[in-house]
Amino acid sequence: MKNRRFLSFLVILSSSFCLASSGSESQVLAIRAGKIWTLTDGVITNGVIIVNNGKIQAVGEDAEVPEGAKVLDMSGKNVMPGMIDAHCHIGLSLDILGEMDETVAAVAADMQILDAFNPHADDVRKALRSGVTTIMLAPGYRNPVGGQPAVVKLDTSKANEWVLKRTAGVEFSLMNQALMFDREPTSRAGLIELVKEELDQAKAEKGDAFNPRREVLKRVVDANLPAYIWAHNVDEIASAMAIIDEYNLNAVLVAAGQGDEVADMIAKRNLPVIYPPLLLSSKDKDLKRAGRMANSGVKLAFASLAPKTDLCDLRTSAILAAKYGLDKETALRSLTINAAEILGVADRLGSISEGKDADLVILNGDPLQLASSVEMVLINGNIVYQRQEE
Amino acid sequence: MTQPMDSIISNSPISLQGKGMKNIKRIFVLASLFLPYLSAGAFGAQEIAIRAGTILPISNAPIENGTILIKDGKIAALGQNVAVGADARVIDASGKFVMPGLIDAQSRLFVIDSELNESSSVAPELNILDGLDPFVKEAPEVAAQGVTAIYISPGSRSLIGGSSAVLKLNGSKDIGKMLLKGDVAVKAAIGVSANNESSSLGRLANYSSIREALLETKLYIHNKEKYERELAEYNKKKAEYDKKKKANPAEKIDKPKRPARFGPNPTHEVLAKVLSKEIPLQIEAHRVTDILNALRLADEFGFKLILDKCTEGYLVAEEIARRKAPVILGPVSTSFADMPRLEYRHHDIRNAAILSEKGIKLALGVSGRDGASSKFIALAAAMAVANGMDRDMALRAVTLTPAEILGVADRIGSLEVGKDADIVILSGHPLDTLSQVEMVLIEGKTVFERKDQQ
Amino acid sequence: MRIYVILLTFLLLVSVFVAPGRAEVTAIKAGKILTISGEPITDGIILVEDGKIVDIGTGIEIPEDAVVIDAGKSVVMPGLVDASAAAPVRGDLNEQSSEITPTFRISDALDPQSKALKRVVQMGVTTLFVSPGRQNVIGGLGVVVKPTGKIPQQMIVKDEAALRIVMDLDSTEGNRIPRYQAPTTFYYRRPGTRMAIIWMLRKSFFDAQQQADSEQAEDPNLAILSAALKDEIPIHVNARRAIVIRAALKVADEYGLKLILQECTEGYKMAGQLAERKIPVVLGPFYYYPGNIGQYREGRKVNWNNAGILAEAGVKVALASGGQSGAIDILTAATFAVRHGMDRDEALKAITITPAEILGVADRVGSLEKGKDADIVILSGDPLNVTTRVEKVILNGKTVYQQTSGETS
Repeated sequence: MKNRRFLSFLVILSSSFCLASSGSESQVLAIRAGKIWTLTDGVITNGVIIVNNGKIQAVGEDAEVPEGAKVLDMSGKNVMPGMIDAHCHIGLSLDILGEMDETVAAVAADMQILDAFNPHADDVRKALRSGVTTIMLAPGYRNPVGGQPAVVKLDTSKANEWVLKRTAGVEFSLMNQALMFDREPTSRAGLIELVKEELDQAKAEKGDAFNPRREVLKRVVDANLPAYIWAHNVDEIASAMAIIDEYNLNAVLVAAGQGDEVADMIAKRNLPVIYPPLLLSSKDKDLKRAGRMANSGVKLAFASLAPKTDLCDLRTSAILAAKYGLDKETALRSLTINAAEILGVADRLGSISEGKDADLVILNGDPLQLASSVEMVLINGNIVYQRQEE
Repeated sequence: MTQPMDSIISNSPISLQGKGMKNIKRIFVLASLFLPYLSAGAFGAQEIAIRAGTILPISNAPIENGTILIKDGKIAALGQNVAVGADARVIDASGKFVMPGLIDAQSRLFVIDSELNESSSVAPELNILDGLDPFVKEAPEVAAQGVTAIYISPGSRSLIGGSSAVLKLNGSKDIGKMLLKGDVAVKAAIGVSANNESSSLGRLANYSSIREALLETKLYIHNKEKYERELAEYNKKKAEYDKKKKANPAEKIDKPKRPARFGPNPTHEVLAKVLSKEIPLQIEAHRVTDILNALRLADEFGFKLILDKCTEGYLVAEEIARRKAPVILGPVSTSFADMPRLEYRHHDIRNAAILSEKGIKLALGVSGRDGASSKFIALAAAMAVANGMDRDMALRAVTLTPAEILGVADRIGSLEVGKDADIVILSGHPLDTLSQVEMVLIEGKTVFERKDQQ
Repeated sequence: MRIYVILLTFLLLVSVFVAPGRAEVTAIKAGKILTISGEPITDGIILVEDGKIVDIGTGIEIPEDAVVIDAGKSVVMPGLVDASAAAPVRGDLNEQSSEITPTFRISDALDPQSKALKRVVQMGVTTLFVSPGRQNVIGGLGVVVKPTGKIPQQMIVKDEAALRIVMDLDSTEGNRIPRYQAPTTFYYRRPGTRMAIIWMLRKSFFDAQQQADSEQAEDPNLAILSAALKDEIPIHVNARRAIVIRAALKVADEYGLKLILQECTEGYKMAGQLAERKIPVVLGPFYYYPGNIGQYREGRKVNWNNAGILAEAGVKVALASGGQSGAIDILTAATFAVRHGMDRDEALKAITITPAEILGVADRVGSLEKGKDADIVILSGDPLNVTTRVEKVILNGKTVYQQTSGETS
C-alpha cells in the first residue's frame, strides 16, 4: 500500500518535472508583426509567424494561430531572419589578436577554432543584442594554412545544440599579413609555394598513419570541405583564383575587398565572397566596391570580423553598402540567406520559411535604417534578448 | 555708383553734345543701369532663397514648406512666409530636407597622423593648426556628406598637447581661410599612454603632472602680477629720481633698484588663460577614475572643463551631470576605431543615450580611423538613436550642441537669422542613412552639388 | 535626290561602325624610325593591328579607317627592354627561410597595381625582367613581364625565364653565427663569407647531379637545378667584383654552365675572357657618383666606360636599371655609356634587342619588325640625348602613356 502511494507520488512528481522543463519549446508562439521580411517570399504586411518546437511552423498573412499559443504582439514592428555574421572571432581570450592565429607554425590545418572558444565569454553574451544569431567563428589571416572554422549559434545556453558545424572548412591566407620575418614564409612567392606544397602532399596522402593535418587537407583537395581563403588585394585574389583553378577547390573568398576590380572573373567561377566590414575604409571609392561586385553577379555575405568591428555593425555594413550603390534587396540577402547558403546551412537558416529554425530579429523600424533598434531576438524559438525600456 | 548723365557731360572737357553723342549717352545710361547688378554678382551680394520641403532649424521646431533667405552669406530670414526679391537665385528644395551643416567634433581630417603628438609632455603652447595638411584628397568627400565644420585637437599621447581649432570645409587650400575659430580649447589627456594602458601608478603620475602644471601656473601668475606691480613702482620711483637728479645733480640720492627680470613662459601663459576661464581645458578621459579625476581638477582649479571621449561616462553619469560638464562623446560604436583597444574595453554603445538622458550637454564625434571618417557623423547620430538616444537630441548633438560647447554657436549649428548660411539639403531625413546629400552651402556659396549618377 | 545622298551617307557611316570582325588598325607616322634590326627609316610608317606590327617602311598605304598617330618630327624606337628591373612585387623579394630556394617563383608575387610599373612605363620601358631578390644564394626563378593587365597572369610574357644566383656578399647579410647560445631563428646559418657561398653552390649542384643520376624521389628544388645544369633554364649570376666574376667563371667551367652575368661592375678587367666564353653581360645599376662605396658596395674600381670596353671586346652587353630605386633609367644609362665611350648603335641595341635576346623573348620584342609586338616609344628627339623626353608609349598596340604636364603620379 505504502509503495503504491509512493510510486504514484513519484509518477506525479516526475511528470510535473517533465511539463516544467519542456517549457517554451512545447508552447506554440504566434508573433503578429507589422512587416515580415521573409527573404524568400517577399515582405508580408500584418502577418503572423507560428513558432513551434524551435521551428517556424507557418508564416503568412492568414496563418492560423493554434489554440493555447502565446501571442507576441509586434504589430508596427519589423521581423527579419536572424542575421548571420559570416566571419568573426569572438569568444576567444582577452588578448584577442593573439588567440586568432597559431602563428608559431605556418601551417595549422589541424587546429579547430572551436577549441579556443569560450561560449560564456562576455562578448558572446553581448553579441546577442546585435540581432546576429549565427556566426562563422574563424581563425585569423596570419597563417598561410590556418585552422578550421566553425558555424555556431549565439545561444550557447543549451549544451551542444549551438554547434552547427565543428569543422566548416579549412582557412587559408594569401594576404601579406601571413608573412613573418622570422618564420617561413617571409615572401609572397614563398607563401604560394608553401600552400601548394601542402595541397600536393595532401593529395598524395594515403591515410595510413595518424596525420590529422593531412587528412583534413585531403578533404579540401577532394572538394569535400570548403577552403576559406583570405585575399584582399587584386593580386592576392588572382593568386587565390589560380590555386582554386589548379586544385579544383570548393572555395570561398574572405575579405575580398578589392574583388570588384576582377568581379567578372570571380563571378565566372561562382566564387562567393565574404565581404569585410565597410567601416574599415572611409573612402568613397572603397564604399562603392560591394555594390559593384554584387552587380557583376558575385554572391556576397557580410562579416563583422569582430572584434575589428562590433557585431552590432554587421547591419551597418549592409546599410552603408546600400547607400553607396548596393541594391537594397541584395543588401538584406547578404545579411541572411546568402550567408546561410555560403556556409551550407540554408536548410535551417537565412529566411523566415516553414520548416526553418525560428531565429528571428524584431526591430522597431526598417532593417535598412541605422536608427532602427533591435527590440527582441529569438533563437530556436527562445527569446534570448529583449531590449529594456529605460 | 552712377551719376546723372548731365553732370558727367558738363564736367568733361570734351564736348559731348551732338547726335552721335546721343546714342553713346543712351548706351552709357543703359550700361550704368546694369552695372550695379554686374558688380553685385561679382561680390555675391545676390540673394539666395531656398524653398524647402522640411526645414530642420534644430534650435526650433521643424518648418514645413518654408523658405530660407540668404544675404551676404548669412541667414536673413526663414519661415513659411518669407518675402523673396525678384532677382534672388531660387534653389528648389521642395520635398527635401534642409538643415544646418553637420559638425564632427572629433575629426582627424587634415591632420598628419605622425605629427599628432609631441612626446608625452606638457606643451599647451603648441597649436594643431601648425600641424595640418590642407591638400588632403579626402576633404571633398567629407564635405559631400554634409559636414561643414570639423573640430580638430592634438592627440592623446601628450599630457597637455596644445590648442585646438574649428575649421569650415569650404574647399579652400588655405588653413587661414578655413579657420572659423582657433584656440578653442587646450587639450589634455589622462590615462591614455603610449601602450594604450598605463598602470595605476602611471595614471596617478598623469593626473598629478597636470595638477602640478596648473599649480605652477598659479604661482607664475602670482609672480607675474608681483613683477608688474614692482615694475610700476620702480617706474614711478625712477621718474621721481630722474626729476630730483635733474634739479640737483650734485645731491646724493639712492637710485631705485630695478626688479629682477621676469621671463614670460609660453606654457604658463596659455594655462593662465585656462585658469582665468578664458579658454576651456578639454580633458580626454576613458576610465571612470580618469573621468572623476578630471572633474576633481575642475573643482580644484575652477576652469571650464570639456570632457572628451568619456568612454565609461555612463557609469558616472550622475557625477558628470551634477558638475554640468559638457561632453564630446565618441566613438559611438567601437567599429569606428582601430580595435582592439584597451581603453574601449568597457565601451557601451548606449553611452550617448544614458548621458543625454541625465541632461548632460552632449556632442557626438566620429573619432574614426582616419580623416575621411568624419563623413560618418550622421551615421554616428543614427547609431546613438538606435541605442536609445532621443532623435532630436541626437541631431542636435551633431549640430548645435558641439557649436555651443566649442564657442561658435553665434555663427553655426542651427538655422537662425543672423547665423552663417552653412546649409545642407538632403533627399530624406538626415537620420535616414539612405538619404543622399543633394547640396551643401557654406556662407551661401555652393561647395557641393550632387550630379545625377547611375 | 538629297534624300538619297543622306541615306547613302547614313548607310556608309553605319557600315563603318557596324563593320564586323575587323580589328582596329593604327598607323604611326614619324620623322625618324629606329628599327634597331636594320637601318633607320626617315619619314616612315608603322602599321599596327591586333597588338602586332603588320608592316613597317616608307610609302605604306594607310587603310581608310585606321587610327593615325602622327608623331611629326619625333623619333620612334622599339619599347625598351630592362633586363634587371625593379620588382613590381609586394613584400619580400626573397623567401628568407632558406638560402637555397630554386623553386621560388617571383611570378607568384607580381602586383599589377604596383607604382613601379607606372614609373617604368613613363621611362619608355615596355618589357622587364623581374627576378627574385639578392638576399639568397640561389634566389629562384625570374619572369619576363610587360607593365599591363589587371591580374599577374595577364602581365607574363615568359615565366620561369631564368634562375638567379648571387655570388656577391649580399646573401650573407642578416646571417649570424651561433656564438655562446643556441640558434633561435633560421638566420643562424651559412653563408657568412664568399667561401661559404661558393661551397653552397657546389653542394647544391652536386646534390642536383646526384638526384639526376639516382632513382630517388624527386626534390623539386634539385629538379630545377638539374634543368639549369642541362642548360634548360638560363642562369643569371650576380657578380660585381673581378674576383667574384672569376669565381663565377670557375664554377661555370667546373659544371659546364652557360652563364649570364648581372651587374659585372669590374667586368672591364676581364673583357677578353668574357668574350672568349661568349658570356653575355647585363650591366647596372648605374649611379651618377659611383665612387660612393655605399652604393657600389664592393666595386670601388669603377670604370665609367665598362660598357664600351666590354662591347668593343665583343661581349654582348645589355644596360639595365639593376632593380634599384634611385638608379638611372636605362635610356639615360645608354646616353651615359656613349658619353664615356660606348658605340652609339651598340648602346641602342643594349637597351632593346640585346636584352631581348638574353631573355629569350627576341621573337616578340626588342626591335621594330613585321610580326613583333607593337611596343613602341615615341621620343621628342635623339634617344641618346639627355634633353630628350618620352612623349608617348604604345604597348601591345595600345597607348599606355602620353606625356602631358611635368607631373608624374
